Amino acid sequence: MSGYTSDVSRPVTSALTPWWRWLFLAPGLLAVAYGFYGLLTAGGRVPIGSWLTWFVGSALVHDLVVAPLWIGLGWVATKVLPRPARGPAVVGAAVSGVLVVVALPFVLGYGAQEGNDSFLPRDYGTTLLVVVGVVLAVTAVWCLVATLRSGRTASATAAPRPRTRA
Amino acid sequence: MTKPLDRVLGARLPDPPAALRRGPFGEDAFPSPLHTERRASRVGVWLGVGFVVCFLTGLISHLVQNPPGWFYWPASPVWLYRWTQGTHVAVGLALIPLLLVKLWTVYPKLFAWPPARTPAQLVARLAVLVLVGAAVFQLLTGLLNLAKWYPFGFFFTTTHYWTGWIAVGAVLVHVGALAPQIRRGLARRGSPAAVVGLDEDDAARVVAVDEAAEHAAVSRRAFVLTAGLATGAVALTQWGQTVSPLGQVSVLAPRIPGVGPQGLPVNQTAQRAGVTETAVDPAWRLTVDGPTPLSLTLADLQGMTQRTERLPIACVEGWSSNADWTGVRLSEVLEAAGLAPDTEVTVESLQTGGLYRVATVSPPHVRSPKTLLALRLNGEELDLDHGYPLRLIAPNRPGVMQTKWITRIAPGTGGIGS
Repeated sequence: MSGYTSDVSRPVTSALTPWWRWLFLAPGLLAVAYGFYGLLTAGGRVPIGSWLTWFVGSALVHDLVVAPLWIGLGWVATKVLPRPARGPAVVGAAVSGVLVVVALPFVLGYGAQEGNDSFLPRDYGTTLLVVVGVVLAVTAVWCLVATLRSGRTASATAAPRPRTRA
Repeated sequence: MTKPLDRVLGARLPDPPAALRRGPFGEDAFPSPLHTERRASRVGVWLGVGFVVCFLTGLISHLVQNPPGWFYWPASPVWLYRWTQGTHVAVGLALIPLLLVKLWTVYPKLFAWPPARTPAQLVARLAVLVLVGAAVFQLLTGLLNLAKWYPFGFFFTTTHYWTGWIAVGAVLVHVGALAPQIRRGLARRGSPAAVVGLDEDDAARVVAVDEAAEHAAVSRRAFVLTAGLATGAVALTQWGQTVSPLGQVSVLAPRIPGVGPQGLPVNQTAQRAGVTETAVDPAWRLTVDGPTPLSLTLADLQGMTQRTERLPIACVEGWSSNADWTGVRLSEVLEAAGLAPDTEVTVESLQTGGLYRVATVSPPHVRSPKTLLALRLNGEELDLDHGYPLRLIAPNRPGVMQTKWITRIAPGTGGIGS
């Protein structure tokens, strides 16, 4: 990681920081303060304990579950996938993953309402399986093509040498 | 003034014992050349703009529903609220993949060593916790609300509104605090501006890492493609509830425009509102308070001049759908009751509870000839779930304020109710 430009010994007045930062800092700090004030004065509608749990929990779920899971997948990919297939694999896995994350509340359907067929009108579980299946199938083909093509270009660039010798 | 402050905030904190520097804290724990200022600032621009758009459109929706004295919301164009709220939800959904990409990019920062060199850095890291917490919180609670799933103990709209202020504020603070990094990250690769302010070693490292990103197994191009396609995939599978041409493409969206009783989605059913008996009771009357109080039967209303308007139902949850509504003009009913045709009124539903039992209709909407007390929808008598016998339909207004199963209208904002 590269270092920070700001002079660490002079964090407030570092000459390397552009003046326009204050156009963001000042209204930003005010907005944050206003938001906290609003939450704290919202009374029974916002129990602060449960708000705090979800607020910090949101960050922790990413940092301790989502990110390590993704990094673990990446580690496996470097062990099992040939180099040219890794780019396509990342794209395919990210697309599938994010589709699952966004559709999951609809698949689980805990909010579904009896007698309201216009809300959650589809079979989300099956649809998600099909969509992700298609994405992963396309990804697999792309990985294969990328690997084969790079193999061919590698052998093509390697080929002329023996020929000139012969 | 700032010098003593600098001395305090810039004081060198003792490092933790080096033996603790293990695993993700290690020097090369995250070898990808994509964990850079450059990638973080470029995704960040999209993310930042998206959060500001969500904040502003969310603020509009909040003000329309809780109007302070200075706020004016027009009755035309009829599609304005549908557009702002559709944007709010569509952009919010698209931010989910972008936020994940951004968090991946900066994830190694979580394990920076030493964790904080100075008190200033400690404050900065806490600020990042507020930023990440607020950003994930907003997108997560927003998504859960689309699914009507409330596993948390707080009230969604109030919390989402106030946390929105924290989120947008934290984004602005982040931009201000990381201004030098952003300035470098957005500068053209290889230009002097891309390394401005860095010492020689750091500058050389930045140049080398950015060069390596071009040729890595997972390269800069794969990164950009990932961010773009993941966002596009969410857009394509979700936006159809708002953008009707995508209606059949968005196979994972919670609503399909045109699907529901009489071709229109429903948010609150008659069953859940508890009006299945009162709404069909022959004793139902529309009471209008005023100098000439009215008590109108369904037949009385059907006997008045009927108007038809094509107006959208635009839900706060982002979906919207056009329909043909037939009924009597609100302003004409008010005139019959001896009220001026731009009197602010409150309409009351048969619902016995719920936050949206009553709604205020402000002068621009009362005055609008398009504002109807609707009896019919798409050529048929209103479905019970659409508010039979009588519902309000006004242009440019959130769906929750288009009160269904109306039983009473009174001048003023607090004239009736609980």
